[in-house]
Amino acid sequence: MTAAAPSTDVTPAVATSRRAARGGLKQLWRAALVVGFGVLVVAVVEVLTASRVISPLLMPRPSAVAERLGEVVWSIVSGGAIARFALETATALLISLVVAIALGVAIGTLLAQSKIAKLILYPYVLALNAAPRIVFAPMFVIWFGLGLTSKVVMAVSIGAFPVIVGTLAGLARAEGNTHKLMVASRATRLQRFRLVEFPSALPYIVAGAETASVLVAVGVIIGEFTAGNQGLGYLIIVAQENFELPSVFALVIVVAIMGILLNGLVTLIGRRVVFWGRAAR
Amino acid sequence: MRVTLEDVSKSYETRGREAVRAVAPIDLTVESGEFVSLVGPSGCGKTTLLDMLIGVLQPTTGRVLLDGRTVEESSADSDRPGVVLQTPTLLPWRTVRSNVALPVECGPAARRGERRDKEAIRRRTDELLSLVQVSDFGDRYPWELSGGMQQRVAIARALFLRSTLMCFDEPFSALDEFTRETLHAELQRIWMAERFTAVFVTHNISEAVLLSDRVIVMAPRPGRIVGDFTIDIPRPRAVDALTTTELGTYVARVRSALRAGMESAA
Repeated sequence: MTAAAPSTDVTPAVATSRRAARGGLKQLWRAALVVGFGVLVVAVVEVLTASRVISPLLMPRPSAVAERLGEVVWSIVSGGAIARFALETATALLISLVVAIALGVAIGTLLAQSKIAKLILYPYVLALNAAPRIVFAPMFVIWFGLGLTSKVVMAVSIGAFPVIVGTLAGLARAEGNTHKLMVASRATRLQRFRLVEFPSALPYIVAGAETASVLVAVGVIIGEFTAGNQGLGYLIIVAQENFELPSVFALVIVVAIMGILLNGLVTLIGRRVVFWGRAAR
Repeated sequence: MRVTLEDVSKSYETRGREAVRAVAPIDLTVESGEFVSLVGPSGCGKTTLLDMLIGVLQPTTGRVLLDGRTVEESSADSDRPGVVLQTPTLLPWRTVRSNVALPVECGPAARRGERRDKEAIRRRTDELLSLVQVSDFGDRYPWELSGGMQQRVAIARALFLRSTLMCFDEPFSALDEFTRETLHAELQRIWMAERFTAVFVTHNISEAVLLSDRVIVMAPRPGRIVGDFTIDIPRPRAVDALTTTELGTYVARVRSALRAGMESAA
């Protein structure tokens, strides 16, 4: 007895194209609003500083910042004097992020393996996360020297936490029914982890990594503030000491852009890794 | 596979209070190749019973024997029960094809790294996909399929290892009426072809009568067996045959046993 193939079965992916077209226009509007707001704020500050309502010693003129930003970006792109510093910061960012993710996943996974380990160690993880790591900056320099290492350590000490938390949350979410199936298949503990639990945790790990990508930028700059003569953080300190406010702002903007690019990269890779993400939930 | 429950009970310890008995001591034998349904209201312990067959739960007293061996002792491919649950529970990062073949990657043999014949896996997957009529969707992802289709894939996965015991826990209760009727016919057809032992948990009386050789009626507080009906109707049984007096009589008898059981509950 063979039943007819069910005709009611339709894939939901078909109906999305029209919605996407309408969404495009909406997104354009939103982008216009975001940019418009920024332009408005900058314009107000420009008027206030140009008319000396706000002293230029307290706040640089946006036009001066823009000019300086142009010079800085050009110097970086054309391999000028600032390029070396930008490269140092970018290198530290990438290394820190990779280490933060690797370490975060490792610690999160270890903690998830045993209830007792989690019970004893997790409060310390939280306490460390709450501690202001900036205080340790001079100590990291003493321990790890003036170079790349102490910067990476600082960045990882901040950036690893969201990954730990994400990994733990993802692994704890292991679904009862999937577990039942794996037990029925006589799966070993390692098989359960590899085939089901770790992949299910990936969306949470990716979310943690996205947060980490922004946090490592903070860590790297703190590291460069304290340590030696490397990176954009060092340039910012020098500019500050010379009261070159436009330079300070321009450099901060460059660092922010680096952070956004890094975050975008993580989001992009994350979507590839967790390709089932939105559709499956 | 012959399934024997000997004096099996299950209690849950609750701190400070008396242990809650989910299942009172039960004796039950399911013969090899028999299709048996467990029906009963919520809380009658039917899923608990099934979980003990699967090996997720350990009985508090008594033992569960699969072909004379305990659940822990049985780990050969065909000894591992195939399981279909209320939700399809497919892994969203795997294609339909790769979901169906998941059981091959589990178990002691996979751990020892025994090489599996890829061609054989491919052939078995194709065979099952066509058996449950989702051949065209092998390379899709589960979330691209409707609920009914996903449940077909789940059935294919459960069948992969040619398990001689199949456990169903309300597999069709989340589906719409039309899809459910279609899958009733499908399941009957598949069972007649493969002749596995089936333990089918449901709270749908007509479904139980339609599909089973035997319907076991359970009652709650504590979970126990209050009725055991042999459904003596030739197969294949058509869904519209349910209205015939013969099937209707069975449904009525099961229903009255259920009602009597509920009234006797503490």
